[in-house]
Amino acid sequence: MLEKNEITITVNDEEVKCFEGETYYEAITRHGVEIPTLCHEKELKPDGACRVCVIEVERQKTLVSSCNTPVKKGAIVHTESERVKQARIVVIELLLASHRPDCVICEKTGACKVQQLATKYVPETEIKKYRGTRPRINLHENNEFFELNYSACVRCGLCVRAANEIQVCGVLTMTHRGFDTYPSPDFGKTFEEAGCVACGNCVAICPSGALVAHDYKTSSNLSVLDKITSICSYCGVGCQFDMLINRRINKIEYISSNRNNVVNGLALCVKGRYGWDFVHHTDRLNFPLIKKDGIFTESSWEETFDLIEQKFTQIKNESGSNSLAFLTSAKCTNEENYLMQKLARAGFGTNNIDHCARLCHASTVTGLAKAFGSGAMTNSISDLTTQSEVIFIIGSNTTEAHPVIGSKIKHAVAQGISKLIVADPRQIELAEYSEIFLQHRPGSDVALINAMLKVIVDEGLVDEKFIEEKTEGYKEFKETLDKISLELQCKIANVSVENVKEAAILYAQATSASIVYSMGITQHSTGTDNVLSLANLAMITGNIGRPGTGVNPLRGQNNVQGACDVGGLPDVYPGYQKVSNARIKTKFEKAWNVKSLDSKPGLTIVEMMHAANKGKVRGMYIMGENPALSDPNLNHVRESLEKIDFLVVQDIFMTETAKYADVVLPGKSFAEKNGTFTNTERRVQRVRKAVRHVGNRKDDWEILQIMLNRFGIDTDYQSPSDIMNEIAEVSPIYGGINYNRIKNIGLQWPCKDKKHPGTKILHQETFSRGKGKFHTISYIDPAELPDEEYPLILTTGRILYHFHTGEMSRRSKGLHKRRPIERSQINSVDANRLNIEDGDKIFIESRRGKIETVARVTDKIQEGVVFMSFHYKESAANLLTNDALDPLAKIPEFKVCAIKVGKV
Amino acid sequence: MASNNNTSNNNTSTPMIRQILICEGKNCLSSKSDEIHKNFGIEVVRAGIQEDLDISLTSCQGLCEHGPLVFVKPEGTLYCKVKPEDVKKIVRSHFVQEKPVKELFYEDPKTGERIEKYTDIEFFKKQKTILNILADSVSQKTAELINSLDGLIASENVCIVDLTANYLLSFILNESCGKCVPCRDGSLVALGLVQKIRNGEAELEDLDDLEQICLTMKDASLCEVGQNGAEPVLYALKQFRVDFEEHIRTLSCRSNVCTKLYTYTINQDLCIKCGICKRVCPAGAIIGSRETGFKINCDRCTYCQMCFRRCPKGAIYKSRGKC
Repeated sequence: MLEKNEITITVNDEEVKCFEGETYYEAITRHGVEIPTLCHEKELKPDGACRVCVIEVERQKTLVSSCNTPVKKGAIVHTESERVKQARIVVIELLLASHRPDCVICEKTGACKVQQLATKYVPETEIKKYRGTRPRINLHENNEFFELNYSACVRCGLCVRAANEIQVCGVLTMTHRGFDTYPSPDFGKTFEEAGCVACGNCVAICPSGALVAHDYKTSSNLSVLDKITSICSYCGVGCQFDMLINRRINKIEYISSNRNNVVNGLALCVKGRYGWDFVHHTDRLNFPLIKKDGIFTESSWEETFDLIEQKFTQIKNESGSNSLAFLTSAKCTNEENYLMQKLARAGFGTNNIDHCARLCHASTVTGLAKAFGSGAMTNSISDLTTQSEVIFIIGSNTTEAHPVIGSKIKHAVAQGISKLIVADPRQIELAEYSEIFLQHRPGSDVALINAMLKVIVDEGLVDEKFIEEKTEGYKEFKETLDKISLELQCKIANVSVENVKEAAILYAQATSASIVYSMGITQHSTGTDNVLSLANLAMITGNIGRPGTGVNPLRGQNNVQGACDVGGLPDVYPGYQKVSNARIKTKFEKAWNVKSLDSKPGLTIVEMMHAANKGKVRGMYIMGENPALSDPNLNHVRESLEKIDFLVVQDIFMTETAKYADVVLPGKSFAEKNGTFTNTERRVQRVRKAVRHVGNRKDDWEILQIMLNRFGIDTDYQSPSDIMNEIAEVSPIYGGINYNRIKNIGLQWPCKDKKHPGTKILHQETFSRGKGKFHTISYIDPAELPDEEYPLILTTGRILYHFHTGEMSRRSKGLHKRRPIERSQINSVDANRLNIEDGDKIFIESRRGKIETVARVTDKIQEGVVFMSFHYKESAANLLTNDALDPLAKIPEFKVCAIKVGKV
Repeated sequence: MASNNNTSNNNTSTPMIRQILICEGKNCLSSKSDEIHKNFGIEVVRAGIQEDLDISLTSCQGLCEHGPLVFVKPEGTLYCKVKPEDVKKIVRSHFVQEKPVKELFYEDPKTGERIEKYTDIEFFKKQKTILNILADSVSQKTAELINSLDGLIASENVCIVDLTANYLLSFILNESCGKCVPCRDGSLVALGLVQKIRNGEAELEDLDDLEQICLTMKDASLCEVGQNGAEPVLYALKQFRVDFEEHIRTLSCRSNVCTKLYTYTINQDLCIKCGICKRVCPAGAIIGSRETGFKINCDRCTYCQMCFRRCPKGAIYKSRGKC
């Protein structure tokens, strides 16, 4: 990087200060002088193709393009001289010469950059109407999400650059040369054939009407649309986007990129950009439903609340507080989660509150809290993807589960910033970008990491100073490590010793190395051990507390981080304050104005289901969760749900779980409410109400407030903002967060007071728990291993186009069309042996259940392993999975279970 | 529009000063052509001849394996494999004593003989002048173009409009990579305008448009293909504007080259009514019979020249004017 010296240039006879190394465009526009551009985009490398941004620099032979020319000291610049104006007009006229002439009927009219340029910069007297011809292109792309219409293409190359620099998919390229040049996938393939993931970033960036999304095409005129900035409700990346709303028909028309945010920038994924139409789906619940004689009947809110009050009070009086259980939601806002846990704890006096974090990152919360003192992503997305020299990705199919982070990582690799080490049982997309790819056996993560640790110790790559100053327990840890055999660990993990050595050395020698992981690490009966091992790996090399380092769990749901933060867990109050701590208990009793809170940690999700099966939990309140599809060993879960005396489900759709309910309350989707989500990098961001609700839905926080009031807790929140203020009061990590401060870019906790700027990187000076702790971890087999009867391993996960139990994504037209059925991946060797061909109907059976699905024969998965997604209720993978628990985190083992496969 | 600097260079009446052109293509640059450039600056000042010399950089000239290359113009001497320390010798010997440094000449790989002038080297011999023009500095290029254009115009069978369309603009159209707008779209639209003139459909304003586009190409293109490529067209427009205007005004081509601006006509005085022309015409454009005589229907004529060539009496001629 160049040093930023300040220099002076003269722009239109005025002196302007700018920095060495920046371009004329950056310098001049920062001072309020306008320069028109077409192909310039802040996030992309300047290209200088359109020549609309030319300026005159004295003593330069020709005009220069301001977007890609660095400033020179003392330059005298004219942006509106006759020469510049004339060239600009001709360039714009030339653009129009081969552009479609029917501007008025184009969908993009009003938002088209070419049109804007023409109307703004070409005076009527200067209109030339040059006669050009359009290149003849016999291609037409029209997929589920967008279409490409070459007649409107001005061949600026922005889509190609977006594809290569933002999404890094390499789908688009400029084909042919000279006048015949145009953007297209290689060899005339369709987008999908070329590997398009339909992120739509090229569509968002297209200045003309060439690449247009279908939802955009059918949208109303731009002038009647309102723009609301909000947060995507799918995964934990927490992408910000703008929703374009037509207030007259109360409808989201389309979603466009918000260029001013720090999390995702322009990038979105296919779900975020095109998967919002579930909001307006006809399946949405509009009225409270009460099950009478097995049939759901619409009823009034009053009647419903009366029934709930009566039943819950009855159960509480008969069997005690702990016979009630609450499931809060990682899809709902922080405020709603806070009220839910307040209802459980203050209203009913039970700590039986949990949510689906139990099923994804419980082991992270437990593990990282044990090792570092705080169970969250240590670093931020931005420094992870711009400053890591080595990124070690284990158990995370980042490009499919967290697509925007995935493409940022790909970008870092493509730019030569980072090198990748990928460890995954499947050959995931990132494996292609990796320096070293370790395809280890599912469930052998501890062995693999121990092997790496062993290599690092043997090679003397240990950061002694860091260990000495900041950690404890290293001596015991090393003694155990010395005893294990590298060869044995590698054999367990089924990887070669050389590869492990190479990976360990690459990781340890990097000046900044980060670890990225996800469900592949956590969803095991040894989940906590896996996380602790990764913590060991980071600490032994001193890779923590600096930019580009750290242990970075990628959270799965839009607000799973927030739901944990505000106390949606059975053992902690908001802000991870232990329920067993007497001082904390008194503090909350005072804050909530209640007599006695329970000091015993409550039940976790899977334990609740077991308890319900035994009749110990009789009443349950589930908000925005779908355990009847998401929990392991579904037959058992469904049996338990049936046994519950009184089940209340609050959701936006009639989910599998809601079918078991006695009362169903209609909630609101992310587009209909105000609140905050906390994303994977601990950033608290604002969700804004975009459309009015239909029917008799109520805000989830309002429902909860009524419940609170009915069960004796007096509250009078006027808006979610009031609730956030209460959260800030009771939990120190949210101490400085309020709605005024998080208007635009949000804040990353810990944020102790109103002046605290938020924390980008955790554990910088010291660890949250004081000293980082090494834990001695030995390899333990998964709870269920393949045997003669069930010879294969089943591992589950997400696919790009769907999300979790599919309640949202499968109701989205485009997404459903793209991936309508489950296709389970099976290795070609196994498939051959079982006489299965690609596309065949197969059955998969485990000790717990049997399902039917369609086979996808591929070599991207290793022999002996079958992969299934858990999005499809027709072939629900969780009927098969094992509900064996991690002893500490109580997370079930979704990732390994023994199965047999056969042709139907 | 054009800066003062360029206009003075375009003025060919001033005596041409000597030029040292140093290649700064990637290969030459990697073998220190930037240092050579610097040394020339120093040495020329030391020798006190900076007034008579212009030291410029050029883009890649090809022949990279012999780099770094130094051209001396107008004599056309080419020095190959120049090292920074050779500069002193070149300045002293070539420019002060007027004795070119023989050991730095190009060595022919076949014969081993040293060749002084780059125009004598096989590699450059095969190239058309226009390619050299592109890589040349502006003044040199214009000068050579004048020679080539003036030479061509002297011959009866060349029309400047046709030349501009077929040669100058088509060249850019073929060379353009398609990245920047002025070069990609400009060359096509400009070609369209010249075609219009050639077809007798143009108006006088089209000439201004053409000039405007070419000026923008020269001024705002991304690379030298567009920047320098438009220069010859601008030169043609400046020097031979009369010819362009004549095409537009009189709808005729003085040299009978622009096909739409002349017609094949049968001179009835010479015609012997043999009917060969009608037999050979592939377009059926010739009407009439041996009794009544023949006429060419220019609407159907494809200008294939079959009748023109086969007429035994040479009775078919090109008559000026649009059909």
